[in-house]
Amino acid sequence: MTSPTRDKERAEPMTLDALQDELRERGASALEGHTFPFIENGRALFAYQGRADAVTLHHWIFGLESAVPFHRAAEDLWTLVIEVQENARVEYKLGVEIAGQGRLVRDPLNDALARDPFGANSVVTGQDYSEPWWALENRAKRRGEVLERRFKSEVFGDVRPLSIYQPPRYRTTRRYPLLVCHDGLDYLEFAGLATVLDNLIDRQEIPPMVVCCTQSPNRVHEYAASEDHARFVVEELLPQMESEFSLLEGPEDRALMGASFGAVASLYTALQHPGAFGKLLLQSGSFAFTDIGGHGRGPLFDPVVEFVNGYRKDPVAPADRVFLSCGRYESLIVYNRSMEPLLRRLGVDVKLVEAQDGHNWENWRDRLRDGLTWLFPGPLWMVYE
Amino acid sequence: MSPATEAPARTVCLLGPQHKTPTLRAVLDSIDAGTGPFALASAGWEEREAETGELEKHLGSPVRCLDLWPRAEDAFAEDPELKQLMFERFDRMRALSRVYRMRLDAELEVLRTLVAELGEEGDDDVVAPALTVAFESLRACDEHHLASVASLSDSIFERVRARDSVRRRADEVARLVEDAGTLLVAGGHVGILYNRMRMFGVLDALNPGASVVGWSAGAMVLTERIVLFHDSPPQGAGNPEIHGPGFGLAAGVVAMPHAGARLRLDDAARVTLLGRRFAPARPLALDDGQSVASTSDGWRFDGGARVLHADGSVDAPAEGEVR
Repeated sequence: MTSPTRDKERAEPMTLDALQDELRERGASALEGHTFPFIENGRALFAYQGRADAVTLHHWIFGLESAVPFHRAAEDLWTLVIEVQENARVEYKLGVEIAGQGRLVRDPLNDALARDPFGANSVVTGQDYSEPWWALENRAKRRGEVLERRFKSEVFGDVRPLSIYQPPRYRTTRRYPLLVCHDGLDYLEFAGLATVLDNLIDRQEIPPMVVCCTQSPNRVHEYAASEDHARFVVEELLPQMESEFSLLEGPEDRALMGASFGAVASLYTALQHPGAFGKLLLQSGSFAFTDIGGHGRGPLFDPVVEFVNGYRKDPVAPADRVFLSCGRYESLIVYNRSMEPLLRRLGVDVKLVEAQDGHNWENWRDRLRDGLTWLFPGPLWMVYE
Repeated sequence: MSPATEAPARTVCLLGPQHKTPTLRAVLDSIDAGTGPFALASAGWEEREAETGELEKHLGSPVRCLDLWPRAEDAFAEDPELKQLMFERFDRMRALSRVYRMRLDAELEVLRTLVAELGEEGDDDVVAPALTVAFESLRACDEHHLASVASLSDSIFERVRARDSVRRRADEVARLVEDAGTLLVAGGHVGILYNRMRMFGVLDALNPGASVVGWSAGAMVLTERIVLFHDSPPQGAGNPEIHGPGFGLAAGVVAMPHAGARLRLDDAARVTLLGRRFAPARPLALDDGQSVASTSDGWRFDGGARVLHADGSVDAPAEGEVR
């Protein structure tokens, strides 16, 4: 993905206000030579060229109006200026309405895209945001191998895919930590998990580890505090991994991870089977609860809210170490922030990292280094080349 | 402690990293005893141990790679009980380190607070005595851990060395080492390097007249105690800690290779903590091109090797100065 919105063409960079004036005066011809959104000092100027009756910016920033109207700057030219904080990363689409018919489109003037299982969004970033090379560019001298498996589950009565990351230089004369990753195939595809692991292992920031990537065909049910899922992980997956790989024993070398409902599944599994996993990496956990009234998040959240309400009422430590991350633009930030002191009071070694980002895969990707290195500090400490 | 520590005095050189500006050849030329044949312990490179081409080119001489890494891998594959013994040591080391680090966190927090309390003159009549006691407590914590690891290693390696799978390979290593003029000990993973050298008794077999030259991790394992350090690791407190005993050939110093990159040497409080903690041993900052060599009168400093002092200062003895 390219970094958007820098005016590098001119010897004297044009200011955002001057560009906006020029767009008003000259219309679409003034777009030439500039990239959009145009970023300057915490502000972003968006432009849309084309026939429309109305244009809106659709983002997923909790607390802000979800559809922000553009203004007509000239014939068939629409503009909008919004605040974009220095480290922010915002995914968006444009709503274009013609003759009463609206449709959401990616920004035609912006090549920067973020992919996810549902397609792709346009992305605008603040001037200080930089993409993590360690997730995008594999600089490792040696690479791990992703082994594809079909795993027969008695619990679910089906066969499901597993992708298992086996670190470079894997050998049975060593033992390895195990990380079980919910939505693991999506982590591999949309968060560059294998590249992240290769780079961090190569840089000795994490130890070589085996990562079991699972994928549920019905995640909204299986990950929503499901006893069946917890049994699947602990009674089926774990023994399978132990039989096939040389793993370190004990919970301090076993971790669960996941994002959104995957974080709920991780927490729930750890609580249902104490002592099986000593570390959790929970990203944008859907830890919704209600102190009063309904949760307003639809019926899929009912079992989650019931679980979290019960957990908050009678909490126990789910693991020795828990890494939490969440975007400040997510409504879930409130729940994740409240999880940190709750866990800390239980004696859990807990760390919460917040980002100016939303509920999306690139947010989760960008926090992987923080989470993995904190949970599994690597052998850098031991190496003096 | 390894029996190797009982070996008679020999010329020992400790060098900084050799990647960017190798000075090994120059150091060998500067000591009368640095002659071939050269035996090489480079297990810290792990599976790259046999990649000796660059080194041989730099030396202008072939080296006998001891192949400690593949020998150990072969022995593990052949002898599952040996593998279990080493796993047992690893697990016990982790348990010891976990408790040591808990104590260390507390000890160093107190010390940092007290050091910050000291006035410019360092003669505060309330804080200074408390600091003395705090350093004694820290040193006791270090010594306890060192003794625990030494005891564990002695016990495990005695059983390791008794195994046929190891004994046969140790004999092969001994044949490569016994007539060597110089043993070279390369850097890399300091724990693995120490383990493999100990497993196969590399120093036990070494000719008493042979010189020993180590760089980076190779320098660390030659000292009396291996100190791990990094002021700004990606995660963790970055508290310097004792990993365990070294082979003790280089007495009275703590080898700190890559110190310029890993330590904040301009931070007097941090330097004080190191200098005073390990006294009377002298922490040596060994960066690119820097080295020390043992002489009958002390250590000879070359290339700008520096000493970290208890008063927070760092100084570089003059070229060739012996201290």
